[in-house]
Amino acid sequence: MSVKNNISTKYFVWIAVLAIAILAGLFTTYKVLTNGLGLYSANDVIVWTLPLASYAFFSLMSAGLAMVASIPIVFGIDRYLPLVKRAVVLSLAALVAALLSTFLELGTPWHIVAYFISPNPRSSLWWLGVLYLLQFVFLVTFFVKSTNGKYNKVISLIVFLLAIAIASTLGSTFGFVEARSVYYGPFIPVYFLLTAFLTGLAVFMLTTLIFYQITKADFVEEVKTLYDELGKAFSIILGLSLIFFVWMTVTGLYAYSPEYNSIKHVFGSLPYQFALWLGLVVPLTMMIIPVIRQSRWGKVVSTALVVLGTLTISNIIIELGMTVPPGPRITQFPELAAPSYTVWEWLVFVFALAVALLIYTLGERYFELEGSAE
Amino acid sequence: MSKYAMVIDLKRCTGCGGCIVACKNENNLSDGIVWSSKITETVGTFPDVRFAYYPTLCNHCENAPCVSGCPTRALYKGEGGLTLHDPGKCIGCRYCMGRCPYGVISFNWENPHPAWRARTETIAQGTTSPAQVAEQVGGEVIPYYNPESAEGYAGIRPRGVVEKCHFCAHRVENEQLPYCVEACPADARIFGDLDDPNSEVSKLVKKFKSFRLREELGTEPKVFYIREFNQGKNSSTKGEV
Repeated sequence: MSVKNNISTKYFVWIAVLAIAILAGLFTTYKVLTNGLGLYSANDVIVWTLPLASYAFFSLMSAGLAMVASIPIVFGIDRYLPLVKRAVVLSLAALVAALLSTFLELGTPWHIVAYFISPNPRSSLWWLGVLYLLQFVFLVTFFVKSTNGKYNKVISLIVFLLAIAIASTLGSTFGFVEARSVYYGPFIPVYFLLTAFLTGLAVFMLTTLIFYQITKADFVEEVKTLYDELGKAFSIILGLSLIFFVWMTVTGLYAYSPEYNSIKHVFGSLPYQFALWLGLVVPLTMMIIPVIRQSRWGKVVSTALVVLGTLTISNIIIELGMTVPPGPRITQFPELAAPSYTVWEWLVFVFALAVALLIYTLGERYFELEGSAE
Repeated sequence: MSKYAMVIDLKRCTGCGGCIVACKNENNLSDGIVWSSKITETVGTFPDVRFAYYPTLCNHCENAPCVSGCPTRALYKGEGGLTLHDPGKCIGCRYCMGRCPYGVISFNWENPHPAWRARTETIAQGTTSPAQVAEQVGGEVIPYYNPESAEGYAGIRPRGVVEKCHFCAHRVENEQLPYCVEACPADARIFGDLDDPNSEVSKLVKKFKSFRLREELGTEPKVFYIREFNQGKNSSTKGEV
């Protein structure tokens, strides 16, 4: 069902809200491009802050949604085909938000042409750029084909593999940093892969359920069964994520190396406690109880909590490796540096979110995002 | 092919910070940007206290994590094994800062030398503005601008890119020593070609037990520390139970 037949005051209010957020974002872009990254709370120790966390969050979300979109075709699960188009549009929207966040995170984004004229295949960051470019092209192709009711297995497989590559390569940009023990190793690539799928599932379920609520569309038994199944898959991935997150913490708390003091430091913080309890434990508990898992409100609340939790966790993981100043920076900065975000950093996130929501809203408005393959 | 390296003699180093100031002058560094710095440690409580001072700079690692991580080759290995930077290719992602184990790469968060760009008079109707001073003496942004540092690199690096020590590549190319080496009043910094067995750095590294920062990472730093200094004295004893 499309909203194009149901244009209402609510719709215009929604578009107006998004327009205001985007205008604020455009003003932020102007300020960042003219004043530089000094507008952020970052410094030579905490080199990445909220805009990078926003980028990682949307990037993982996009990869996860691409998995949700391609799995039914790649693995021949036909009853999920009606969900594909919405997942593709959401994945594209999240990818644009990720690229927007990273554009406002770079000191000189106009030098991006160097990616093509001076490539470094030894750098995971360079590969990540290539993967985003490919994913964008294939997602658009995937969407165009799916609007014609044709689901191409090869394109779906490419999108699926690219999604896995993007999530794990993003993790590897941290996992390859030998200089910072908290980042180094295979943990973050694997954890990001899991987080991508979790976020993709959460965002997909949350968006669709809100769409059904707003449009008062029929939630037929067949669709309800699909979402109940998705709820079970979501619970399993959520449980695995909780196990990974807890072990990351326990490993850090158990360590003697001063570099792991950042985990001890963050353990007592409000964002960490929020991410653990409200972002993982509470939604998992809700999903384990069958009555709540099968209810629409139960799914909405738990997926919304997971989305907020994932954003917080992205931020926590990025900060963990930078809290302890390296080398001579220890004489210039506190033993454990911690940022407090400026309004500009929050506006970057709001801008990216608003653009993603606008793309999705227009997708629902102009395309029939729910249907099955002929 | 040369392999440039620096030896820092900790027994000669007085911790005066002359190298830090010389580097800032030679390379037109902005406020908050440090290429040459130091790690200071104070351990223990009086009277059993020890103070240690380790000058730091880019280690020009043979296996430089900043070079392998840079997506656009803005950081690259140059002549003599120097780790160099091209601001024209730098996208300002700061991944090199994340990858560098030594914390010696700085980022230009704002326009460099903001104080010297001010157009308001320092004392109203009494003095010129900082920007006028710089213009009148023919400097570029700063009145004490050193044009020699612009040979082969940006004299002043713009906002939005990283920057770091390049062993004064502009001087080394002209067979001059890096300026921190030249300026050190105690001759604590010794520079030369590690591949030349007759160079002073080769001899010192062989003669004294040396250490390099975070050697366990396998980055093969090219800054060696010798003769760690400790002024403490202890009398002969076997301890007690």
